[in-house]
Amino acid sequence: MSLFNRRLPKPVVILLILLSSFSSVMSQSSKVTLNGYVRDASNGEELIGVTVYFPELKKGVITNAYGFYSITIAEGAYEITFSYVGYTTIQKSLTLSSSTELNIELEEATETMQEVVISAEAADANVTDIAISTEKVDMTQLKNMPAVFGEPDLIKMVQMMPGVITAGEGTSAYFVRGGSADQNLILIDEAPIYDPSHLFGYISVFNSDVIKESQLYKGGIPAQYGGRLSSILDVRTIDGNNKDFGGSAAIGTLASKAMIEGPIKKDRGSYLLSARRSYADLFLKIVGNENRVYFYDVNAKVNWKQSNKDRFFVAGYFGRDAFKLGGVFGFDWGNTTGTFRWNHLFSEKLFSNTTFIASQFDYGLELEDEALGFRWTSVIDELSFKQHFNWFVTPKNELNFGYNLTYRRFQPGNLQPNVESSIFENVELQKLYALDHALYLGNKQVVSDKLTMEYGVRFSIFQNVGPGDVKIYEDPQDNIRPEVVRVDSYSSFEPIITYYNLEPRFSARYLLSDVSSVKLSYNRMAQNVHLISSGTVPLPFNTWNPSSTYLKPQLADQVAAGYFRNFKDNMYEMSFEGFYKYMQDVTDFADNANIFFNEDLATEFRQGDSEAYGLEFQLKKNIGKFTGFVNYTLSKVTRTVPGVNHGNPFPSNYDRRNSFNLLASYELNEKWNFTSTFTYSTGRPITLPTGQYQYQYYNPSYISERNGYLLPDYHRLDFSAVLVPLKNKNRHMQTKWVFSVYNAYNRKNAFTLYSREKEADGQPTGEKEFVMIYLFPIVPSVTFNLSF
Amino acid sequence: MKRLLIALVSLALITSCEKVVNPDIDQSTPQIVIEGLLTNKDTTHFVKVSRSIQFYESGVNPIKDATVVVRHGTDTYSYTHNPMAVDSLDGYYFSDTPYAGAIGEAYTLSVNTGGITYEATDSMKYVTNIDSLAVVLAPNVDDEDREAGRIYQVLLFAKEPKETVDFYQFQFFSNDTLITSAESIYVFSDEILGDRLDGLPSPVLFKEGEKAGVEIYSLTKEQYLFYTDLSNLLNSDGGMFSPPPANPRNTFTNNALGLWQVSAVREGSILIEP
Repeated sequence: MSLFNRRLPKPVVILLILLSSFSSVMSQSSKVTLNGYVRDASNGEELIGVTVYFPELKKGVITNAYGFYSITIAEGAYEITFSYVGYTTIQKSLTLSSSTELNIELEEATETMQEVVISAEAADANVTDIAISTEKVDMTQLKNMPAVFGEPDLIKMVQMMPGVITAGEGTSAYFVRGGSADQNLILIDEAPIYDPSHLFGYISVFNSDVIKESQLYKGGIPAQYGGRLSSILDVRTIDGNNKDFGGSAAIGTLASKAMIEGPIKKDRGSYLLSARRSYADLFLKIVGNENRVYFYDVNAKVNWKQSNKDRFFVAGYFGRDAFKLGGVFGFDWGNTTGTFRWNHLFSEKLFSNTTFIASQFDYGLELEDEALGFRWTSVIDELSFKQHFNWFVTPKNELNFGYNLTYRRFQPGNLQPNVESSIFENVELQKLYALDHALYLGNKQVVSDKLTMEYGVRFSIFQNVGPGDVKIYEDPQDNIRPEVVRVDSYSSFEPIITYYNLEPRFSARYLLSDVSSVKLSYNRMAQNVHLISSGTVPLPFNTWNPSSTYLKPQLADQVAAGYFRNFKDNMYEMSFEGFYKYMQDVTDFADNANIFFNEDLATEFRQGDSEAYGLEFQLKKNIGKFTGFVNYTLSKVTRTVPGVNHGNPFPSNYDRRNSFNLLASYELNEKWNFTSTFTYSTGRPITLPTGQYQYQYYNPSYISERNGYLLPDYHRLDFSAVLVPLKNKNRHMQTKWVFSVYNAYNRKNAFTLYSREKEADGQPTGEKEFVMIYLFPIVPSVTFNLSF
Repeated sequence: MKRLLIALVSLALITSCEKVVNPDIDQSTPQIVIEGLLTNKDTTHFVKVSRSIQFYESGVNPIKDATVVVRHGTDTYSYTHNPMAVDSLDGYYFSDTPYAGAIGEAYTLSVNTGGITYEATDSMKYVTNIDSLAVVLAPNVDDEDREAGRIYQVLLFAKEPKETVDFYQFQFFSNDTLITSAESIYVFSDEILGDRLDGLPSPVLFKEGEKAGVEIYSLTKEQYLFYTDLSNLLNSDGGMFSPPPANPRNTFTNNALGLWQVSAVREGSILIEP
């Protein structure tokens, strides 16, 4: 196979030229480097994205994902500002004659001080930052926002962002710019989460109490990220307070949670332990003692700063859902992740992050029965090593480069009889293995006062490796009687097939004025893990497959352009973006595919192309008593897959013409905050029958077209009120009440629509009807929070 | 397995509510539907030919002027439309002479109507013997069945050849009347089973004093897939978690719907006594 096995886009050539011009900017003299960490003064948490700015030079830098910054400038005396939204800006006067380390602690801004922040540099990040198609989650908004059952949920906020749509309520799946749910990479402390759902998606696995920062990249994705086509959701958890011991607890309608954090040694090390457990046993209307329904999750973290040059960090996430019905039928699923991280400063300019990651997702189904008893399990394991360098070469060039190695083991299914008398035999579907290498290099270059560019390339090498047998089919798409011509056997780590992909990334920002800019981006993404699911919304019981002899890597090329404008001293942020995305070899399945237990699963694969384009509008107000956002997306997504819908293009499951989301939050006084959200979107495309016929005593429907109809439009209004009692002021213990109303006007939103035969007195009549399923009526809830 | 998955999905929707709706649906072009069954019993066999109807219509749209024949090697069995001219048998074609299919042989059904010939060929597979049946109290009975006294399960004992991959369909009878259910199809593959079916429990329940009957049909893989597809279609959730609904696959040419089923059949019965 040739290195560039598929269409190589022209931007690669441009990038190579840009990179070669880079050496000329590096040779300059009598420079000094200022570097350090920026932290929260109250708990020692490192702050991500703090602007470090030199007004005289009109130069600045922002802290990276680990709170570190470094900038190299000429010797001299300077004013320096450190600013971050929600924190009081610090101004320092420094005379720099040699390289200096400067660690800064920022105080959280109080209500009155927030006004000061308005004029701070960081507030105009919307315009000045190079990031395009990137959304940051405002954690305060998230905690105040109304939520079903009162449990604040990160994914629910993500689902409201421009360019993101949902499949309806009650699911943690989200779709970004025409991509399927499995095209989103979800990371918690850099470890991937394969299924982010608790309770089938009613809430997600992210406990909002421990989230420090989360960003969603929809486009303009930097070279250090890869592996999925449509988005990266990068969630970082808090490190734990390294100054004082603290904790919190909350009692909610759905789940209760508790968290403790504190210093191991003041300013040196900290720990965090957080746990959440559901009351779903009550929430699901199941009666009887034999039923058991619950979920839990635990976040644990230890953080140690050996010196300012070396810091270590270990984090773990453990979560599980378990259901048992009638004492006989059980199922469960869970994610487990572990991250070990070492941050090291090779010099004041070269920051290194070394990470070891382990991630596991598994599910099980069990039936306790004398004759039909079995336990079915499926597991995916992932181990990775990541070496990332952040080199602050000059104030105008910041290099990011590194290497990732990932090993994956897929166990699609193992069926075991769980009693001796069971009629089942132990059957195991063949395990699959993959090795994934990625090398990347990117540079953020300040070309002029107005123009900044970030460009790079990621080179990924994906290998499906042994041990394993590969069936060679006479016709790989014959899913009725697959004819195996021969079976090729491979030993451990022997490559079965190797795919090379060169993924160029590019983005640019051009300042039109102090308050407006235009941004442009192009990126290619490659995806080598494929979710084996043919429904719209993935279930926890879906398995994954690597790219293989019969599954090509999925590729996406995306161009996005945007206009960004702030108003009234950055009080209002506006953006307007357009995107066009073309995806090659998106994974789909034959009509009637059997994807659950199939030794010839490869014969069910159908890959085709998908095209998505759209416009996104966003208006945000982040400052003041009244905050919120309005997001609107106009988009179209089609798929053309040979062997599906007779090869004709069809609207993808993720096609929504219009999508609108609004969040408005009002801080009445120190006691009360009121938040309201409204969401509207065009209905989901659905395949409906157009006819029916008789076969024996059945009345099957006749299907003529894939996704030919739309569900009714979706819309919903929610309210919440947060009460912080005034008596909190004079005591250590803090209390908070969250009252919320979900679906305030009790809209019956279609979850799905299916057809069935009408019945009269329990007998089928031969006539057919459609039945719409809707989930939540109006749901009020109360949550009580306690922190100390 | 598939059924379990469907049970899971419906559990996910346990807090949900339902509402009957009537969306506007386009007119569809009527499709030819053929239902043919040939067994190893020496009897008069039938083939039913009809057209599909619009979604909101009801009833059946029989085709009375088709030419129906079954070919086996050089033999040809011709079928005649509703020879007794009974109204309810419109669309049914009966073999002119009784005959029996033979295990291991291939049979071709050919239906010609409107100038188009729809053909399907399938062969008759071996069916296992039912060694014995037994009656036990069902471990899990829902309230509805309990009230009706349906608390007994029939266990089936049979030897099943492990070296071949076989597919079976079950039909259950109560006092010689077929138990029908609009959503339930009882087919299975022996791929994940051991070589003995020791006490395979019936999915339907019986009450005391009933004569419980079981028929076991051999299926080819194509026939088995038709029934699993049909089951998925009848139980589709509209594509939320399950695949989008699709027409069941079959072996007919020219996109006819339905199935040409060629099956060997065995039967057994037992009186339900505590």
